[in-house]
Amino acid sequence: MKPCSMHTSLAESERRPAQLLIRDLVAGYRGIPIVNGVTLSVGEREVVSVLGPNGAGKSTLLKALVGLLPVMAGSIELDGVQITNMSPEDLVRMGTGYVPQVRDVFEPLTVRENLDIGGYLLDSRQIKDRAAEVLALFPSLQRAADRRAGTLSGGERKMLAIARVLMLRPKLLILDEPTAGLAPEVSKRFLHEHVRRLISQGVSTLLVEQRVSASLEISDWAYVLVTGEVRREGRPADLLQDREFAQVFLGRRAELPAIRRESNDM
Amino acid sequence: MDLFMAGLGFGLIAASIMALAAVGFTLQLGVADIFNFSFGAVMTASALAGYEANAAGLNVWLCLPVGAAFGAALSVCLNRAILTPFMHRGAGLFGMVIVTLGLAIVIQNLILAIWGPVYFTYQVDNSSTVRWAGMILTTSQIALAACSAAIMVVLHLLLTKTKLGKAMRATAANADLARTSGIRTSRVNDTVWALSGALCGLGGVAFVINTVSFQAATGTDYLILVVAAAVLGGAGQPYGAMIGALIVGVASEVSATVISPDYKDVVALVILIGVLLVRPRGLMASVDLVQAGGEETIA
Repeated sequence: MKPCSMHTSLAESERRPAQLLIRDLVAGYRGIPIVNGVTLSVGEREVVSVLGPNGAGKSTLLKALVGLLPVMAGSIELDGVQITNMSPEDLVRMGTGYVPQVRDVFEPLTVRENLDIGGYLLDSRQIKDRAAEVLALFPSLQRAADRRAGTLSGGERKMLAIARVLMLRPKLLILDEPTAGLAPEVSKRFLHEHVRRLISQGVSTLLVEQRVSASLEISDWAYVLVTGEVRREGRPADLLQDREFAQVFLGRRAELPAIRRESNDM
Repeated sequence: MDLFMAGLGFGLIAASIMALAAVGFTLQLGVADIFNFSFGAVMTASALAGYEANAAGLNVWLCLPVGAAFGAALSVCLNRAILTPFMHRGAGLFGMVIVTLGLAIVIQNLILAIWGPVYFTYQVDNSSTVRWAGMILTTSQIALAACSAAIMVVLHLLLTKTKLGKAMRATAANADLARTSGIRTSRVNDTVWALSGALCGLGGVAFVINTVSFQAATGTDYLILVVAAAVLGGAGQPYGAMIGALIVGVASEVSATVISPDYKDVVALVILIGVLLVRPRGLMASVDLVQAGGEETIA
């Protein structure tokens, strides 16, 4: 782990017990590592952000976590159980809920059918009851229940993507840039209203975001990922006081290293 | 006008048979992402299984389930033994076209090698002729069309109302997302191959019940019309394939009676080209159940 200041180590001891623990994770495409020895944790009922420029390996990290990419080295534990290299199908059964950045809904299926698939592991009566509960969280989806997911607006679509994974009451929600493509105002409201509210329901969240200040506002802890490695971690308040962090992420965003090793459209 | 109505009658029968095959073909394309050129050869093989059952004394109508079971079993085996291993090693869409073309040639020549270059003929009961509004059809043709229509309705209910059907459509639309929802997509794939193989087998036997005789290349020759129907409706889309079959079936039979039987395939393909000029993604591209409008099937 990277050396942290005295300040962050103290803060770290105040974190909740880890639900998700990733140790020295190496993952990438076709044997080429993009994520290079990342160690991070998500405590019970915490919102943890992973921040970083394009190509830092944020999406790759999440894909390896949910079993869509092979883990080349390192380990992943969920509630003390080894889940390294488990298939996506089995990881859902362990309680993960993954919302990818793009291609996050089943476009030809209606909103209701998307929720049915989200509740695939439930029996049909449970699906109906749970879908009603989930739709109650998102009133605008309720009105669009019979529309095809491909015809929804960006915000509605993201709500559906999250509603879909909530069907199974995941222990750990994994969100890959949920606000990408949303207008700044909408994304801020989205993060506050929806993501933060989920925590009150006992869900832990691992959030990858490019909207740094908005996601720090709702996070308990944040990691900064640069070229596949954790460069910094800490409480949002402490990170914001860090001059280098503030400068790179909040002040001079134009100077971010824009390496596009990992396409955002994937 | 009489000629046209008679052609229309034949066309509706041809369309109902073609729909079985075209929906099977398009399911493989939509869910498994395979443009399966061996589909026609599997049709022939299934028709042959029906022929052997028929020759052993089974009533020709009971040969339909025999052909369906054979087509399903053969398709699942071919997919597991040959197609999936190639896909896992990274064969792309065009690589798989070559693999399935090769498979078609192998199956066709196996039939030739074992049974020889002969015409196989089903023992079909004499059926009476029905005349209605200028159409002249046999009762067995009407029965075939009714079977096919019933199967299309069942298929519609399967895809829209059942968990399995929704899982198939979800897998077709976005396999990774389906897996992260807990769907075991490899099992769904097996089911799709069994279902599409059954449709392929049914189509093969139904085709022969209608035409009475066939030989080793019959299915492969017929495949061009099946593909035309599937692509016309929008590749990978079951309702599209049904509509495509209706158009291609009726157009080819009407042209056969009104112009000349020699132009049957030509007319079907001219319509296909015409439609694709106006709607390159097929008729049902943006409204069907399986593939999204903005999603490229062949990617």
